[in-house]
Amino acid sequence: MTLARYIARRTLYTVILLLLIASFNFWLFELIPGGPLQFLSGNVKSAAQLQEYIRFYGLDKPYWVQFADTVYNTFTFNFISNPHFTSFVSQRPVVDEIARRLPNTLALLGTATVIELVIGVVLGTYAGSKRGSKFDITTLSTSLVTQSVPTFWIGIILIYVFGYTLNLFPLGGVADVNAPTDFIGYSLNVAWHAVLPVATLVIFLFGGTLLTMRSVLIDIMTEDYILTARAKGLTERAVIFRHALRNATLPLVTIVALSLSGIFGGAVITETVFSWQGIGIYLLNSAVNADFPTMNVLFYLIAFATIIGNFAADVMYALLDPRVRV
Amino acid sequence: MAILEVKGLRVYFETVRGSVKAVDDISFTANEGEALGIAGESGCGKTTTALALMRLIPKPGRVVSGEVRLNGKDIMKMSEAEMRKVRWKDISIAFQGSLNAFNPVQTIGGQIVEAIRTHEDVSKAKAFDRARQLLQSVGVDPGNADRYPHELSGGMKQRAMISMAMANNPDLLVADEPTTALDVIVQAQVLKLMKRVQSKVAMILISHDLSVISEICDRVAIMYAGKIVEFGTSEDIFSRPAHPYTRGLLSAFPSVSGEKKHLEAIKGNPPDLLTPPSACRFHPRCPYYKEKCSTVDPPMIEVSPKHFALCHFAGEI
Ligand SMILES: Nc1ncnc2c1ncn2[C@@H]1O[C@H](COP(=O)(O)OP(=O)(O)OP(=O)(O)O)[C@@H](O)[C@H]1O
Ligand SMILES: [Mg+2]
Repeated sequence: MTLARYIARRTLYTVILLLLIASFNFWLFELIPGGPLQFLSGNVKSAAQLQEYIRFYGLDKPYWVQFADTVYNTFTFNFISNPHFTSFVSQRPVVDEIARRLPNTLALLGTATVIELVIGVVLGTYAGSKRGSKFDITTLSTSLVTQSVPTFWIGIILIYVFGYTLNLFPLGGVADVNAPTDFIGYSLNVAWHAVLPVATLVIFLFGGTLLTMRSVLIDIMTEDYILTARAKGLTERAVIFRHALRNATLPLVTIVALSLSGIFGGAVITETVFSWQGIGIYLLNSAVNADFPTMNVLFYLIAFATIIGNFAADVMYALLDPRVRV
Repeated sequence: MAILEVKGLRVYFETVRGSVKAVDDISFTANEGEALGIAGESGCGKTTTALALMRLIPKPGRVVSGEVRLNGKDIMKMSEAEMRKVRWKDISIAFQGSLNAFNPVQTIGGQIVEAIRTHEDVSKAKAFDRARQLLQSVGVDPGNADRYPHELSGGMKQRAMISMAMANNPDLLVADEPTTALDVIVQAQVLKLMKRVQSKVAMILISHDLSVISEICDRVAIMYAGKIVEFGTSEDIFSRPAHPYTRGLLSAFPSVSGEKKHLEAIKGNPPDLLTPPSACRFHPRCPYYKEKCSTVDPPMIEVSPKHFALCHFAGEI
């Protein structure tokens, strides 16, 4: 199979998957008992206003028109001009609401993910290449613990120790009310607020990466070509960097692609514990308030990021692996 | 002159079920300008012996005791850094099957270049030229230097492996089952190649195929269950086998002497190396079994000059 054909096929699958998710999202909210109408009516005062809303959201149109409309507009990312994607709660376009919060989430999760990946990959590689050593056993047991402790617990402990007792970091929020308004001053203030939530996520996440990387390395280190590399008189460093890690690139690409695509979804619990106004909290609130249009867009965007991450990993695979590349 | 002297080598794999005595007190020498064959059934410790010569025994294995003198120096006493200089420069190995012995994400040429440049200070371009010449010398089109292992056939990979093993002009080349897993025609081609290689470098040829050994080797060691049970010239081993196991092995290979013989396999199975039979390890399968065989360790008897057999009754039966 040629590379172009491979990519074309992956693209086709990706498009089909996205269409399926867009349709699923429509039916999900239609099928909830009562449908959108019941939840919408909770926010209105008069019957006339309800009629107006029904017309505005197009709920008076036949199902299939609503369906086609929603799927088409979701798939084409036509969220702004379309009244379907107006929040039930704030009556503002959902995208505006998301755009306000996304930078906070990206800053928090982006930073945490990059740090987590670096720690997990480096320690995992080292542990896996020295299987059974003290270092391996220590990191292995540590990451098994940190990975299974819930984030709210880690968050609360960090807040208690470093926020409350030692008073080194704020207890929550994205920035102080009286934070400097210039870019650098404001960023520093945000960074200071981000330390504990980032630490919480890093502690929770690095174990998974470490364990995956470790088992990948353990598998590779028993391969025949590693024995050949050693037999050629290479140093252990060269064996790991030139031979083991180059064969670990494929699994590594998957780890990175999936982690990075996860940063759009926000971190519901961590954001809540630290009152970090991001996508995670927003998603939680929309669910609580039955804000269907918001949930619809958020679900789709999160799925979109994951699917695109997978697609990117597949294409990278093909480009990196000489057995796929032609 | 002896390039390699192995004395009392023991390699055990410490598994959860106990120690697997894969190589148990073996001694042999390999001489300059000669090819030494090591033959024996699957699992008797041939590959383990080869890896011990480069100090590459994988976990949970370890060299329990023994000396391995390469050009007079005991490699078991070397530091890891000294050992790295010995590997591939003084002794190299063409791995068994060689199917996965090449790194799948690097070109064949790149991997040969790496071998050359690990031990010699030459430019990449020069080393690559040499890699192409090496491939040519083993009958592989030099254009394959730019290709990846999966693009080569099994026979081509085996030759490329041999050429890589010769890249640094080692004093001793170990070839582990170079012809196994190849079809008959390719086998014959690789065999021809091995004969040519043999004229240039001292070689240890490992095979369970006695006809391959008889065609190439000057001297032969027969292994059984972690022990060398017979050691001598090809002539000794193939015309005047002294150990009952060697005899059984020979009669299982009709083509060695050319004449048609009644093909009789050795009865029973090779022993479990976790709990090998007492005294002579071959006694449960031996047609000449006497009580002494299961109670007293057999001595290495010199049945004729430089022809040894590990049997109480060597020379008598
Ligand atoms: N990593 C290991 N762990 C435990 N036992 C092992 C290990 N490697 C080898 N052995 C044991 O050591 C013995 C010798 O194995 P070795 O690979 O040296 O045999 P061989 O003579 O090369 O066989 P073959 O002809 O099949 O290649 C076998 O009984 C095997 O089970
Ligand atoms: Mg073997």
